[in-house]
Amino acid sequence: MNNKESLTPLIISLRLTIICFIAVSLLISVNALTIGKIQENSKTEEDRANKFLFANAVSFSEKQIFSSLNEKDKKIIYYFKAFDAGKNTLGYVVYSQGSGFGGAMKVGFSVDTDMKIIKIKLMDNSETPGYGKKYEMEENVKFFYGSNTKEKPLPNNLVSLSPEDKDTVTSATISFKGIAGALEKGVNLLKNEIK
Amino acid sequence: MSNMIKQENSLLKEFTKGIIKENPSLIILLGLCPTLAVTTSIANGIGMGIAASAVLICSNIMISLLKNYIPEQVRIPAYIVVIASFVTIVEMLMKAYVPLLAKTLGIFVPLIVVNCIILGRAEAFANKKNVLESIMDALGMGLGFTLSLLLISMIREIFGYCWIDFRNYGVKEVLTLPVITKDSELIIELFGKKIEFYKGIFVLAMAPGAFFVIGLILAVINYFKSKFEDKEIL
Repeated sequence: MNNKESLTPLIISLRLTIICFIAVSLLISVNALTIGKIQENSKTEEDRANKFLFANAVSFSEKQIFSSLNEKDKKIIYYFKAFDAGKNTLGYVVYSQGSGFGGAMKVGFSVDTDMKIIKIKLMDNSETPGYGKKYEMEENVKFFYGSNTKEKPLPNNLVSLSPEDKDTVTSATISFKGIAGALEKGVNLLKNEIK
Repeated sequence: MSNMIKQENSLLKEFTKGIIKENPSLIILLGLCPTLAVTTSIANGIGMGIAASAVLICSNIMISLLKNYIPEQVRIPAYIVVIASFVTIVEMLMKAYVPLLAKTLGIFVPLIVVNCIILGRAEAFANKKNVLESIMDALGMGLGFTLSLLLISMIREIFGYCWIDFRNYGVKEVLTLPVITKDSELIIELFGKKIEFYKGIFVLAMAPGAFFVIGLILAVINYFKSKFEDKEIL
């Protein structure tokens, strides 16, 4: 076997490995530099979201986990208790996850003690701007408000929507189903947790 | 002395070519996916342009420096590693310092990795030229890309929504255009007649609007290009 031929793949692999190693080192450094700020932003966003989702609440509990979930999901799906001035529980703010057109979406929502949906906020997502991203605006998710009761079940398919709401959902049905799925999952977990 | 002037002229040429003559989006028609998708607002257009330009400059520098070290057989994977690293760095910085913009641009920031402009400049330019020329090329191409995004997003946001929204950069209020009356109707006085428009040509802000706008811009460019070529023939 020719010596050069046998060496070439080795040198190629070695050089690619060195390039990858430098890239990884650079990424680790930048990550170390930005992680604190990113976490701080995420905490601020969550506090703001809690206040938006439960405007009547005076304070919130510490982050609560769903005991039925595995360790990985516990970090993604969790809830807060919302209290009034007398520390009575007004309801809950739940952060759940659904699958949209661009992958996983974080959905925050509030429910009262009867599990009626109060407000919804689409949070971290990779939905397409102009389509799935439109659910970040409150007016496009209002049809969920007040649902999850006997009179108004949680809308989870197109048939359950009014013609006006169907117009809103058209062109972004996968994201809509993802949000509905996240709500359903969150509500069911909460029901089991507080039983 | 004349060599220095020649080099300066060549660097200037590398810089200016990307702005108009070889504009990546409007002349070479590369990177059309983010061009069409994120230009719903001026803020998004500028953000995307700056993010892509930063990645382009850094990757051009790195690839030009490593051009003799990267094995020819695996150059594309090596370029992807370099570009993906810089994209991830830009994404982390955006999430840390402009989180709202990072959220709005969403999937299109990680997708800069496969942006044809960046990979194209790495393959066609940076791996053949020196660092200085590669920087000038990246600056010109980045500026050309940002300007074309700015032009398209300006048309789409101003005529689509009749406002300019910079809330992603921390500005508290949306800037509503002063030509809009109390009833939010755009009224322009032309040849003594009042022409009233709907409060926004909303289709421009939607996905098909991006195609309409870019199509019209390309038609104008082609018109002037053919005029220029006709003159040259004569």
